[in-house]
Amino acid sequence: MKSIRDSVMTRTYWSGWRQEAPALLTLLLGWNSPATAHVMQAPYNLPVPLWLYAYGATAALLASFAVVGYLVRADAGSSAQTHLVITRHPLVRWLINPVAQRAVRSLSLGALVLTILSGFLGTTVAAQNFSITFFWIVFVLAFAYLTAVVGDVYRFINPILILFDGIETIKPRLFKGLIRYPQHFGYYPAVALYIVFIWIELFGQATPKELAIILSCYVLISLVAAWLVGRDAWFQYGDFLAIFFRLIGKLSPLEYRCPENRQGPEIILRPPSFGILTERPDHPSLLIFVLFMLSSTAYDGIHETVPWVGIFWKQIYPFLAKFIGVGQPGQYLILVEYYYYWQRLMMVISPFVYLAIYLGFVAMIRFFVRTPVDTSSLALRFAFTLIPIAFVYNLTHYFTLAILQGPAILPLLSDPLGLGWDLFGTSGWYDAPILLEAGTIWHTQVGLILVGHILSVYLSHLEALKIFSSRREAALSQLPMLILMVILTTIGLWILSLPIAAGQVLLPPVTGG
Amino acid sequence: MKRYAGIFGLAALLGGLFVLFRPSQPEPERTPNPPSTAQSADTAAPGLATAVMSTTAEAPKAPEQTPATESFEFEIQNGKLISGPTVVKVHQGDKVRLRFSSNVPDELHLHGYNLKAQLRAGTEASLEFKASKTGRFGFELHHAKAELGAIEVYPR
Repeated sequence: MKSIRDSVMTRTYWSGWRQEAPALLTLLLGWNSPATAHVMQAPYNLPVPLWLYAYGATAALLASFAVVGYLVRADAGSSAQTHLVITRHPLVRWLINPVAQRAVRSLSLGALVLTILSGFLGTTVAAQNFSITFFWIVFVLAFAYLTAVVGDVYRFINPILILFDGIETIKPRLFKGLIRYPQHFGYYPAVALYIVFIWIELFGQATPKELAIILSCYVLISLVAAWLVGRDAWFQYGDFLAIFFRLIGKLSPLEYRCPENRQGPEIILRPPSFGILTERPDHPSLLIFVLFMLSSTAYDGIHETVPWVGIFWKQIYPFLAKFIGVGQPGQYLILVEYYYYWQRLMMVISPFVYLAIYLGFVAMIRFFVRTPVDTSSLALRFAFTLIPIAFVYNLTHYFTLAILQGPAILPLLSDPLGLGWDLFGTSGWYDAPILLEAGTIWHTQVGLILVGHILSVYLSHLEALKIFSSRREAALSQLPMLILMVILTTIGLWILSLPIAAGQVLLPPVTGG
Repeated sequence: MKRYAGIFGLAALLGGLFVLFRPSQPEPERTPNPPSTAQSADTAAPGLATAVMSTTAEAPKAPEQTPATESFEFEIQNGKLISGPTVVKVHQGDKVRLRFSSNVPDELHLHGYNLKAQLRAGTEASLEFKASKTGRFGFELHHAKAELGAIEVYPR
């Protein structure tokens, strides 16, 4: 995301700044040559100071024990009665009237079309083109945060779904599926697409035109996949954005249920984040998806920091230099290339590293509580309880960017192609960027991380109370989970406190002569 | 629901303690006449600020005398930084002077503060400003498309 931030920020304030446009292939392969890689810039967030980090970690630990101590004694069975069906409430009925629904759906499809069109037809200067800010900031960030509040509305306003509906009015049942979706594939198609997406986000520096190509490809992939395996299977297992928003929507106090025999959804009010307890992953791939939500943000947070960059240049570089031969001509350039290979490899394997750690702790649960439930079922049952931590990781990393660049969508709406139009009279709005004070950012970050941590610990314990017969067993089972969550939270805080490296490529420690 | 309220109560309590006990914007550092604008900072008697005590041990090198100008020199050759710090650390309110010399002409941009400096071969260019906004802001060469370094402005 930093590369996005860089391109957006740089181009907002230095409109003349342009970057050479790499071909899409290069973009997807992602090899930034050393010459362009240094353009990747750090965010304006300062590292969280040590005392705040120490406070956060200690508070996380204390809060965890407070939650467990509380739940060991409190009555666990009452959460089920806290749901309230509000579908028939006059305000809700007014909000979801058919006209409003049609308007929102049209807006959604319109936004996708406008993003693609402005990418193809508009200016190549990212900050002056509607597409970059709308897609990366408004859709990927702000809409995800909105989803945590209003619930998974994306399942109704997903522009691709609306496109399918439109096509099916002309050619009915086109997306009923030619073949049955192979169930053992699970959510792996979505995991793969998600990894490609993060790759583009972190390493791609996509220009507006490239973004338009990428989105068009995604629409095309969706069409073909839905035609092949059916639209329901595509949205269930393939459309990573639908899954991403579905998982984040679990944090919301609003739930939308779609019974088969009813027209329109049933809307339910519930305590925030209780959606996590109503469902559990039905396939290991969904666990990997959740872990990648965590690890991709953690990776983004760490991959440009001093200790991380130093791992390569201080630990791996001397080893590789010996391997290639010290002083070979071009050795340094080869190793710079290896550095980028290494960075990308770490991103791709990050969810699996988290998986190994997670499974280790789940195995520990079985060690503490002698339960007949096997490790993989236990791993699935607790998987969703990591969502609050994953969500606050995301929020702490990107909210400054959303606040900085989000409002720029207003002037961009008046001039989506960057041609100097002023369609709605908003083109002059937001000329002074919102830069938050470092102190405000730090406190918000640590506060958010703590809230996410407390929620995760709490929900995980509630889940344990459902799985295990006695309170003692449930509490015992939570000991490893608690350690895991304190570790995840401390990692999150620690990453926020790391100094940012001045450059991706450090000077070689040995020049070879 | 009651339990749930308990959890939120706990979160609120932690939040409250956090705000209550956080090291405040270090009180001892407040001068009797806190400079609020660039002008007043310029004219503030240096004697007032010499009494500054640095309380945050982990903060990067707090300057002893706040209104003094922090000066940093950078030497650029063919679009690359050959001498000078890659990360400049200052505190909010400091006056900062960044001096650049380059053997090729270019344009230097400092993000966040939105400052530009024209670099000409053989002549020194400088950026002078009051570090009013906290954060980490990169500076780069426009034509060489090279990120030279960043300035980190820490709160006081």
